[in-house]
Amino acid sequence: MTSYESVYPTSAKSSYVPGDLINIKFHVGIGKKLKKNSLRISGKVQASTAGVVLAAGTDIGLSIGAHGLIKNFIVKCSAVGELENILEYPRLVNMKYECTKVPNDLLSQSDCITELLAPDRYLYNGMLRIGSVPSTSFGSVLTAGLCWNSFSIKPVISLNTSAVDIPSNRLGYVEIQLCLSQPIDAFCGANVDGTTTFIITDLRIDYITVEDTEKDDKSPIILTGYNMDEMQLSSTNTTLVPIQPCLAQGLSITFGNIPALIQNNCLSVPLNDLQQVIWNINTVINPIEFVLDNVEDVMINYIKSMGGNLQHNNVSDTNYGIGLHFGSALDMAQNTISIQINLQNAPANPLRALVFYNKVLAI
Amino acid sequence: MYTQFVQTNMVFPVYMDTHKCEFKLPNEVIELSRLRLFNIGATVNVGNASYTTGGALNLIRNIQLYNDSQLISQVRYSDIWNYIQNLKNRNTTNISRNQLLYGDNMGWIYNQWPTEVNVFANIVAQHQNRLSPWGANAHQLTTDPKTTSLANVFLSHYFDFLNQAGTLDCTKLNLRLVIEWTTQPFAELLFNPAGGPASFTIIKPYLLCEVLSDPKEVKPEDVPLLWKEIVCTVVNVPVYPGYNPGAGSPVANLVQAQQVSVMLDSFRNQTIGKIYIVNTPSGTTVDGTPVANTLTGTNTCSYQMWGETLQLLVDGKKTFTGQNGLDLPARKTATLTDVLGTCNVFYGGNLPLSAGTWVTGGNVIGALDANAQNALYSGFAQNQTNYHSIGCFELNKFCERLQLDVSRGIGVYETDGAVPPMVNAWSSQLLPYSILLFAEVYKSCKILKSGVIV
Repeated sequence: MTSYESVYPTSAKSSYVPGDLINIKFHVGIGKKLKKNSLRISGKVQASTAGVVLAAGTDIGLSIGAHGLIKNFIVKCSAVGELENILEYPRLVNMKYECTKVPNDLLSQSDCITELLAPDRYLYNGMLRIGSVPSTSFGSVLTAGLCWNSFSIKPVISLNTSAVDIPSNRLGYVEIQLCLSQPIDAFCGANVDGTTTFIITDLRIDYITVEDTEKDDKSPIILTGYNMDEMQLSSTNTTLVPIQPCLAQGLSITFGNIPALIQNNCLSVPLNDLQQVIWNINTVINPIEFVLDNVEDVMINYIKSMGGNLQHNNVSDTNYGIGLHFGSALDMAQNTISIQINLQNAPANPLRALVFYNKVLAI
Repeated sequence: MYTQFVQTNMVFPVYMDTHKCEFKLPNEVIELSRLRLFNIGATVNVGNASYTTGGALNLIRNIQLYNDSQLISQVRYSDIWNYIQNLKNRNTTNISRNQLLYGDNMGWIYNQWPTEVNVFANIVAQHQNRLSPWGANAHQLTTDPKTTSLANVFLSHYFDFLNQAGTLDCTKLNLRLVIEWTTQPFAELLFNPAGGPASFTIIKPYLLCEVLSDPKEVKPEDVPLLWKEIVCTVVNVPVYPGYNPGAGSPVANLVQAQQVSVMLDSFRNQTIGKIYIVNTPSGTTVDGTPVANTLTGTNTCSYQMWGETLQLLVDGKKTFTGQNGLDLPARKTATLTDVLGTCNVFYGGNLPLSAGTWVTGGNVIGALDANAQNALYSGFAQNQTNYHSIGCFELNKFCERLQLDVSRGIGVYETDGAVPPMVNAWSSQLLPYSILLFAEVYKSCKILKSGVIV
């Protein structure tokens, strides 16, 4: 039988505020399977400016939505250990959505709507604020005020990437640690200030279980997750060397300061005068040099690295990152990768380079 | 399929009126089970109108397949069933010319924002073009049968029995198809809310059958068929409304949610796959208006459902964790998404808007929840006065007993903020809210000379 389960945080509070650390632990149950791609985080959020309705022109990142409320994500399970540690989670979500969706999707798709995504700032602003609307229509009076939006996000984490339902013995106890974002990281708009904040209530993890009636064939279940490393881009000729020892099938890199990126609702700071990106994959057997010397190639490979669709995305020549999909999993402990980025002009200030490792996990 | 062994026959109704239409399928032949119904549509009395989600198929209210007088399978409220199914289509699919010509359905998710003045109206007007760039032209009902939009559908859309059968041995069967039409002047799910016509006239449809000219080529096997029947049941979940004295007052303090438990006898001892649940707040402003006008003179009021939660008990076990089960609107939309895949839900489907909805603002507990509860299960078709909202979840289990617990509050809004006499009048009026449930029930049957054993 299919069951719809909900788990509240271990240290339950009536409401959660920016910066809160939240720990949620659950066991799927003996004789049950975690249904593939069924894990969600839901709750209600109320945003405000100085204790009253959110200032006009303020909103959560449009293609991040309620994901933006969570800054970091750590996923562990007792049978395997730590599955992933995603820092700057909203950035990852933005990259994922921009590579797989177009604005119209955000207007009418149920998955986007439950995640509070929006195609443009005007609509979004209305959603968070409601607004003052004296109406002549029968019974319809909208009054400005604080409002609650319920959300149900499907986090971009490894547990949602399995191609099959996951038996409980493959996971054991699952522990998910969240760190809520600071308002400056979650909201954008000209009027975001020190009084802009949010609270979350009814926070929980939802997932679906099904009965495990089959004999476990012991074959590994493959998941894909993300880890993040932070580096720096400061000159016309910078070489990034990602060194996290994991089994990676691709790397995706975004540049810039996070609040600024969210503020501008962009994937990455435009790399002005980008001349060349050279990927050196130094495998033991066959070293490969992969030279990308135009922006279009860089964009195409970036979209592919995020599992995106070349015909259906919102990436543009002013809104892209750098990435490469390796085609198969590469053991980063045995092989080294360096990414040489050549610019015409050095950035005015050093740029943060957030390197997301798309890693493969077997449980 | 179109070989020399297959003859395509057009079958016209043996009976047709404004309520009903009946077809008899050819006898003494073996035919392919991919029966297809054509020319489904209507003309309207004046002007133009466009279909809402589900399109012209919403004209079909109930559809039944008989063998002589024995009912093999039926879909009641098939307009709403069809609406749910069409949610899975993208707008771009629904409005495409190919879909219009060859598709099973027509209609698209019309942007449902109300036309009254509000912060969203102008913004949404811009986005409507994105949603339906030429939809209104492609899917219009007109006064002329030659130009009005028509749809066609494979009957397997309703009857999984036909999907599984492959061929129908009509030497043993005497099949009849009976369609009951939507008859309301303002069909609930039929027209878009902007200017529905006063009346419509249904065009005579025809059925396309593919008869095997050499029955020996394909002889139906006498093996039991397994299929999923769409079983519908309607449960009443009446509530006494509470009272809200005006905008800005806390609703939650005044109106307590009331719980109703219903045993779903239609689904006893059945193996059930997916369950679709449709909220039909058929009371809304239509019922409220006379009472309000009588009691408040020049003032107006409306009432609105809020805080609805839902729990399904299978053999006494809760399907959803916790007492309240499925609560937040976003969670309800999420169950729909997880079962059906991403659905067309118009932007703002989780927001409180439109006549009949109050929004009190202030520090109301769960203001958006409380006031937007017609976003109950999300996914909407708005008609003149009502929303329909939908949820979906799957059981995949043999169920001996199925019980639905619904908890909800209905609040009354009055513009002048006066307490009596509204509160007295409303609190004694039991409002007839209902919920429609569709379930995929697994069935098996065997076709014998003497009939069909289900």
